[in-house]
Amino acid sequence: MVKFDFTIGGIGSFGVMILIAMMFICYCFAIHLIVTWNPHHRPAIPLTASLILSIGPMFALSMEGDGTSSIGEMLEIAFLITSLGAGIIVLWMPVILALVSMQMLRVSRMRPSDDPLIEMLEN
Amino acid sequence: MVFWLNQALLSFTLLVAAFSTWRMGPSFKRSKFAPPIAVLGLAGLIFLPEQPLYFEADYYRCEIISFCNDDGRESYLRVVTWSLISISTAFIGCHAIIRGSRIYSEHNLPLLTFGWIILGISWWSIAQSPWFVEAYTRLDVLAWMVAYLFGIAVTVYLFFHIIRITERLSPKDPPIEPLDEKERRLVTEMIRRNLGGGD
Repeated sequence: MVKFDFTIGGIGSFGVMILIAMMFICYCFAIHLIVTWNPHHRPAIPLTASLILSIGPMFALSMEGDGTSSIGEMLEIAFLITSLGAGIIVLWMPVILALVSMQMLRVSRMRPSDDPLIEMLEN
Repeated sequence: MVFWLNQALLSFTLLVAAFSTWRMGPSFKRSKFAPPIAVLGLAGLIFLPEQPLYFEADYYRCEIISFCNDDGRESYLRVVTWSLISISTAFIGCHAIIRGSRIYSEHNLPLLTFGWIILGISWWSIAQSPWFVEAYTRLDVLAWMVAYLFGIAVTVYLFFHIIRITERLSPKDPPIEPLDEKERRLVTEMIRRNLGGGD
């Protein structure tokens, strides 16, 4: 079986990972701004910026090779970027879970104080 | 266009949208659409269609894209499934531990034990996944993980400035009119009732 390899598509450099992080965060931020649109928001500038920063590099990557691009190719690049982006966040999970487990250990052994307000002020 | 790639992308987008709408509004009135959208997104990620067959147009496209073939799809599904198991058990375990501990309510030892067992299952699922083992034993992957964090930091810094510019460009709201006599009496009455004095 072929494993999900990070070198897929020639992605292997430090700078490209920074770019992938930027595209992934901008993609998620653009979705967030669109679905939470309300009259009290002024999301025009952040939305335009996030769309340019996510779709622009995707368009450039899809043009790599023959110099042409299509919606299908852009969707494939978007899939690759989101999969890698979410995958690397998941890769941090053991570290995050170790910190959370330590916190849970503290919570399990914690006893409520008689006066939480005084304790909070003292700490 | 390859169908399973598009479905996976759409499902991920739905999950992000569901999470965003879930966090909107006051805590006692969250969006009612978020849970069904999240379920739809999760179902779309898990139940992916098969790779295109040789007589379908997408088949030749899949031959060109390295991550599109059956092995790529299977690896993707395996990573998604194990990640979902690890993340969901971690969430359930932590929730049970917090509920079972003394900090919010009475000490509940069976619930606390259940929480630790579920958290243990989360650790077990991580240990079972060859993906994590391979990633943490490769220096290049560790370097990419650090680079990725740096990329997130750069993006957050960039958006911090973009939002600051947006706020600076936004026209200021006019000063609010003072309360009229009726509003003043209403607010006074509300405060009086809440503080419980002056009967």
